[in-house]
Amino acid sequence: MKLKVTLSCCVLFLLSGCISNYYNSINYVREAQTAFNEAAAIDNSDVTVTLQSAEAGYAAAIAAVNGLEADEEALETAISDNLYGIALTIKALSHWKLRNWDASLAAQQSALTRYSSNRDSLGTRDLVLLNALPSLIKHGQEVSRLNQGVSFTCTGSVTSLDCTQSSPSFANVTRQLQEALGELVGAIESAPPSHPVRFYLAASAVGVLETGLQACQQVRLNGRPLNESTIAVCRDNEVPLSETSARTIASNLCAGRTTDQGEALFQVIINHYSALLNICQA
Amino acid sequence: MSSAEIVLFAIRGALKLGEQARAAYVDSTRRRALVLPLPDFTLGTNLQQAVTYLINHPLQDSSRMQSLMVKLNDNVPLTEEEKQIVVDHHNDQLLAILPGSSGFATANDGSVVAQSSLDALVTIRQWRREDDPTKSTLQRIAGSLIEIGVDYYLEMPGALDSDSKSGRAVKGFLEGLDTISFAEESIGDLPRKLFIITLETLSENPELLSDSEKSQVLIKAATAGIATDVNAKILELRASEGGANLGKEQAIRFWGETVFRSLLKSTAKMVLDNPAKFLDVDDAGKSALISKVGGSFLDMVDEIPFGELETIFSEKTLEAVTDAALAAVAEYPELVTGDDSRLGPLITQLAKDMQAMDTLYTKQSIPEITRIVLAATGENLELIWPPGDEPGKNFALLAAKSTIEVLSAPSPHGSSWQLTFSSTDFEQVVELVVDDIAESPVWLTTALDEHDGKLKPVLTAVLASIRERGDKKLLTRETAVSLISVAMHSAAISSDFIKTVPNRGPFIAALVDVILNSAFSDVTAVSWRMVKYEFLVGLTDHLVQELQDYSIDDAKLEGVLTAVESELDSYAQRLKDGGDVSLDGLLTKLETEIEGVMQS
Repeated sequence: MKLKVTLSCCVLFLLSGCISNYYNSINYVREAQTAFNEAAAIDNSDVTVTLQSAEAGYAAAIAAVNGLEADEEALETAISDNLYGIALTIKALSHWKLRNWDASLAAQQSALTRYSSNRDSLGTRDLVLLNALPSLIKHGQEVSRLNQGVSFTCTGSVTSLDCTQSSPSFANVTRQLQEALGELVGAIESAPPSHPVRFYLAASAVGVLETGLQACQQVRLNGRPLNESTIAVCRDNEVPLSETSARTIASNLCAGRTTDQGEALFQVIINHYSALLNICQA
Repeated sequence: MSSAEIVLFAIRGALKLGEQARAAYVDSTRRRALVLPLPDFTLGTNLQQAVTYLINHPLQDSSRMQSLMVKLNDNVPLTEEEKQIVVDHHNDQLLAILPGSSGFATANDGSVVAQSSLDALVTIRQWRREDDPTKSTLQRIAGSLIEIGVDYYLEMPGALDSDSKSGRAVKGFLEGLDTISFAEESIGDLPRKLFIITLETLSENPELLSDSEKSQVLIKAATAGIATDVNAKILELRASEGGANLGKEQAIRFWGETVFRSLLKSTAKMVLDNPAKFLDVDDAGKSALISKVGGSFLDMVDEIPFGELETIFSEKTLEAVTDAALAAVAEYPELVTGDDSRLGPLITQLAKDMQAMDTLYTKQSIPEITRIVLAATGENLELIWPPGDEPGKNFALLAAKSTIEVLSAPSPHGSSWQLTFSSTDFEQVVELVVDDIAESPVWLTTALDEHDGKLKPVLTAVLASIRERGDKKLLTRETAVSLISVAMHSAAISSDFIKTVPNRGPFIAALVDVILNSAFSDVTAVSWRMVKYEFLVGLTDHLVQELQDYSIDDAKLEGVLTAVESELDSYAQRLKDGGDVSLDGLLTKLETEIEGVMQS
């Protein structure tokens, strides 16, 4: 009897060693998820003093994914378990939040390429996010440009300001935001009905609209009136908020609520962002 | 068991559990929600936005705001306080558009959406709940534990002493489970419950162990059959509803457990009562008998709404029905063997027909009526349900339906006797009627002829007499049911009783009418003696016994009725006058009168 117990214990001991290696790939991914989730929660709280903590969290998430990629055995297991797509998604999103645009796009491309023949293995949320990521990156890039200075650098007299050659280029900023908004609205529509990722994308679209508003205001802050050329550029490059897009955003922000509330929110969005349609013509 | 075997088992068991535990962990990681960070942007209204909005939506009802707008228009700088008033007013205007906007509250940090709400909104799961392709941890682990248990027992039978009778029976159960890969199926914790039921049934019904080797086969068949059928039903439900329906799935599993318990207990009784018939069938045949009977009862979930099954069928009544079904298939294995099992469709048809009647009492009678029909079918399959006939043409089922239809019909307006029959009354009459048609092929064909069946008209006429003549305060339901039973039994005895008497209807109904008419002729003096169970039922039964010895031609029917009527009237008069009123004396006189009519 004693022998049996001893042998059983030996077996369990040996197995526990095997099992710990067996779980490595999962642990890397869960570590990345935990770090990313904590960072995002801090990030969304919008408390400036903790922003560095959020950035540290994103960095930790990236480090966990890098650790997985450096561990050949674990990586192989993660790929066969369909966990690598999750890891790459987290890596891409983390780089986006750290404004490492190229690294973010590289991770995004890596995920989409690896799962090109079997997109379902990525999971609904991750696939939608990876497809929406380029638009989020475009938006992030323009926010960075706008945050570099309080205003666009325009030339000309105070009474006839020329911003057509401004730095950064107002035309480029608005064009990028215009594309980002269109792509985000497309991503919302590509997600399954009632999937919660739709809310996130709709909220992100509001962010793009806000940034567009900010860009137009910064042009105006340079002084008025603008010269004819600048007004023309504004008109041609303003971020368009079509009724269709506004409705898509409103209905997904209102998911699960009544149609009346969705319609009301649509009105708020149209009213709030109507400036986008005419600010440059003022 | 050697040490080496223990080690090997430990490795196998740990690996199997480890594999499933790891798979569950992978699934949990794949479905884990992510908190998604919002893009960087400054959300909030500044003065510029507020002014732009308010220019396009001028205010009519705020003199303060109007004065501020004039200042803005004139390029007069606003104080910080005034700027905040403009921004606040703009925000109020936007919020006022939203239905229920009064419910908005500003958080401590000034935001409209609380941080906790925002966190919840941007915590995004991988799949919609209905699309999640991963299995729950419980399902994976529970399935594996059972697989390990099954392996353990099959690999190390000595541990539970498989040579013992109980060991063999338990082994049969485990072998039944071994045919299913639980972690891949949708039967939840059903196996655990079936195992408990098996152990309970074994301890309560030791007869199941009388021939342990063959019992093992029966238990294996019951286990595998129920588990497989429950699983199939749940998958079918999910396919039809486009996803899981936890309530209905739980109801199917619960019903599966109830059927399994009855199946085991009934099997135990069959083994004890009829071992030669039941145990001499080959193993494949036995498996089919058991699993098909279980499957047939499981199919009831398709006909009787969820929630009603368990109220209609108690353990006891389901057991009685299962007894009848097993007895029927033991006698006629062709009911469940072959390509198209006949038992399942018959039970389904029964449930469907009884459901369609949709009265409280008919629903309560479903178990007993099912038992009666199955018992009759099992006693004389060729007569009751000839090969090739559809379930709806089973004569026992037809007789039961016809009887219940008549008895459950509402009494005509103005009837003297309006009592409603109970489920027990239905069952008593149905059993008698079905037994009679099973014993009398001629009565069967006469009673249930597709175009001119006599069962319904005769029963209707007898009941009409009771409703017409009876007094609701004096005539009990019990007496009425017995009168009906005697009358319907007479129809099976002799065709004379269903002959039509001009202006009176079927002879037996007319006879009942005459008796009741006399009994209720004078409530105080006559009814006091005559409206008693013993008198009414005894008299009717005696007359039926007396008359069945004669061949009554049509011309004498009226004479018999008149003679009986006359004698009963005299009896009633004697009751009023205080003369000789013994029942024996009355019966003797009636015999004499009837003999006189017959010899005339």
